[in-house]
Amino acid sequence: MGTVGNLGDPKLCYDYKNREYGTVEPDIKRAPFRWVSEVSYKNIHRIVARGYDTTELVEQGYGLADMIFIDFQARIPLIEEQKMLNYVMILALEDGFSTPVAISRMIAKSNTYLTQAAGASILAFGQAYSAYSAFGNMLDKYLAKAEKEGKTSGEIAELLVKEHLNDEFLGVSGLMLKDPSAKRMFVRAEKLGVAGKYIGFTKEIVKATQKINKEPVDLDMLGAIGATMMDLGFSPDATWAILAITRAFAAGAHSCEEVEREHFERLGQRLTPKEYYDGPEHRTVLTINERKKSAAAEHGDSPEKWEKWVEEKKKLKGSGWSIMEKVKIPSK
Amino acid sequence: MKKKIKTIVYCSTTADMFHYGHLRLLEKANVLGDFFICGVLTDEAIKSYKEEPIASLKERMAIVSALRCVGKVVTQRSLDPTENLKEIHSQFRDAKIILVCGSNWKKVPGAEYIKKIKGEIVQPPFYEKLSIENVVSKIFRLHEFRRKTAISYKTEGKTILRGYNLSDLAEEGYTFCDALFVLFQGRLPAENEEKMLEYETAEFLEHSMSPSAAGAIAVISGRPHLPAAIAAAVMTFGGAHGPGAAHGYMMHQYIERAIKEGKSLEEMGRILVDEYLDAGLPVMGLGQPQHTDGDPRAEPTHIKQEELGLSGAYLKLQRSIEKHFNERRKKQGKSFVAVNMIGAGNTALADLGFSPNAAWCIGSVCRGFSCAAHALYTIKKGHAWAASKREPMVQMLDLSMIKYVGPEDRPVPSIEERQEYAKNQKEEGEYKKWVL
Repeated sequence: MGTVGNLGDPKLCYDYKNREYGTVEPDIKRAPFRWVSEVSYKNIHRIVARGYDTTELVEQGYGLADMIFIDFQARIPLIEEQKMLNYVMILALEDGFSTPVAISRMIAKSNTYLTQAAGASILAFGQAYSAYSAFGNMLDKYLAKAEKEGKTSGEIAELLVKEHLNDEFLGVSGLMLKDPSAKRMFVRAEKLGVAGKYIGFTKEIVKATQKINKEPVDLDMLGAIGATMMDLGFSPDATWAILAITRAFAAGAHSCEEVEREHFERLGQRLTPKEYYDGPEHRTVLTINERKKSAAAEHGDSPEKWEKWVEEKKKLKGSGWSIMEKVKIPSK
Repeated sequence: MKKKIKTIVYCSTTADMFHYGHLRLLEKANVLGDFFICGVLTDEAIKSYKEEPIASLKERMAIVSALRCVGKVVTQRSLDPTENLKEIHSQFRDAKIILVCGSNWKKVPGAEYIKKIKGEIVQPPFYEKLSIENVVSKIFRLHEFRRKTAISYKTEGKTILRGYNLSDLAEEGYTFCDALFVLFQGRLPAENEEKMLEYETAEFLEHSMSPSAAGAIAVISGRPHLPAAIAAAVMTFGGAHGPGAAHGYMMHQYIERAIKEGKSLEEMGRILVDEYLDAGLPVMGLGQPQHTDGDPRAEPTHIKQEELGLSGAYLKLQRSIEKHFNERRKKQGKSFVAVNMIGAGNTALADLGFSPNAAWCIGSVCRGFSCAAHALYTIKKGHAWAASKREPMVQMLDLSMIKYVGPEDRPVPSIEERQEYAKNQKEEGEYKKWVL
């Protein structure tokens, strides 16, 4: 058989035609694959998490919050810590028609498995909506900086606020000026004796933000939960996970209600009124032959042309060209 | 009159869907000079820079003409008011012209002419709250998510779940399991009920390497955001992995039949087993592929339910199912099969008052906690992609893990040969054994 397409091109770094077919033989030099875990194992008779038999744990009277400590921190929590985690999870359970719930309801409309709707709600926890990992990582970064540079937490909070004032994950905003729940959480943590450096530092961040922000702001639920969970010993990622899952219980209830009260949506049922549309005006489709004559490939082959080309692309909403995130690159 | 006027103020407006923001701008303009002229943009002028207006020019002019703060109303034929400004300047040669334009305009239309005639530009703050973008987005949001709900509501001051303030529930010392009762059943449970739910959720949370944990680990190997792996784990709970609501539905139907047919739950358990096995169907809630001599969690769950005084119709029926199922197996010389966590867990949740779907939600979401821990372990202590040859152990995605059992390797037909090749392939029909 001859060469296929460009696969004989000398620019290729390999001889494509003579590359081998066939699967790779089992690797017997190394140990065979096994699921490696520090978290848990099971055999025919037992399920063991972090060394504790889970059936023995529940027979002893340990509960859900205890199990979360065991899985994520490999320890049995103090009663006060267990109480505080329950407190936090109750507050995180429900948030009305917020994004996770809206998503879960939308998915339930397709007559899906309930788990698809509940699972999808978890996907809504990103860097803007309840960005617990971003918040926690920020606290850790600035506390480390304070230690390294010998600064007080007040001084470093001022720097943090200067650099993150407009970030969604600051933990301080105008969202809870009339709702005392977030502040009550800190008071409860202090009463239970579980408040530590993260709650202390977050209070400094609140003060620093209030000092420079023009509009009134206060501790919000992201900041309250994030700091409390960190003082309970949960990592930023664990916090993110636990709170997203907590909300999924409510998303499940909302998806049930959607099925009970609303109607399923069939493919093609939902119309999009023209009033919602602000894209290009109606235009005639070129015939295939006309395309050859009049449609030219678009690209920017020099930086200057590329820049114009990108600017032009940005004008079309939904093309994705207006979204350019900064990634870490070695040069500045 | 012309002689007395020292300052003329001019301001353009669309006045479309006239609101407080428009009024505020025009009132501010009026106090800046001796006489205020307002230019209302024509439809064409508006369309030159944004969506066409909803109200007609006549309707929009009528509103502006009715305002006390406006001295005179004129039409403005283009976005740039220079044409009108020239006209005003020619009529009021000695008067200074102040052009008023909202602060949302970086480049004020007509600014060049105003400079030329030594006029002044004033830009009062833009009233963003009622901007068309804000109004439209609010209408969209209302349209999209407006629902009647019996679950919760949220105001700036509180979040209410089934009538209870969430913060008050937490302050009072209720647990998350109590809150799950409130969420799904609208009531605070008795202490023994709360204990049972703690028992069950804590036990169901961790199950080491089941499809959910494997799913989370496989998804996180590509290093998406953590929630993607957790969502995937929850979504593994389908018809085979924890059949969710199905067991509950089955129990519900047979209890209803017991009432209708005047039979005891003991009898109905036997009927259920016979009907399922005679039809060649598996009886849900029995047997576990890994814990082959009895799921360590299941029977203790039954016992705990009894110990806490929570035995209801579901447990009675489930016990009967287990008894009759194993009697039939014994007669056939087959080994004992114990209840699994669907049989024990869903039964307890049903007797606690949770619907089949609520039970499904509680079980599967609860497992998400441990799957998140497994995914995090993989992030922190493992390697992305799980295919590295440098690891001492063969990895999950190592190439040697692939055992291929599909069609033999075959050459790709040239594009010219394609139609003939495809026709033969379809006629020969060998491909059918691979169709999924």
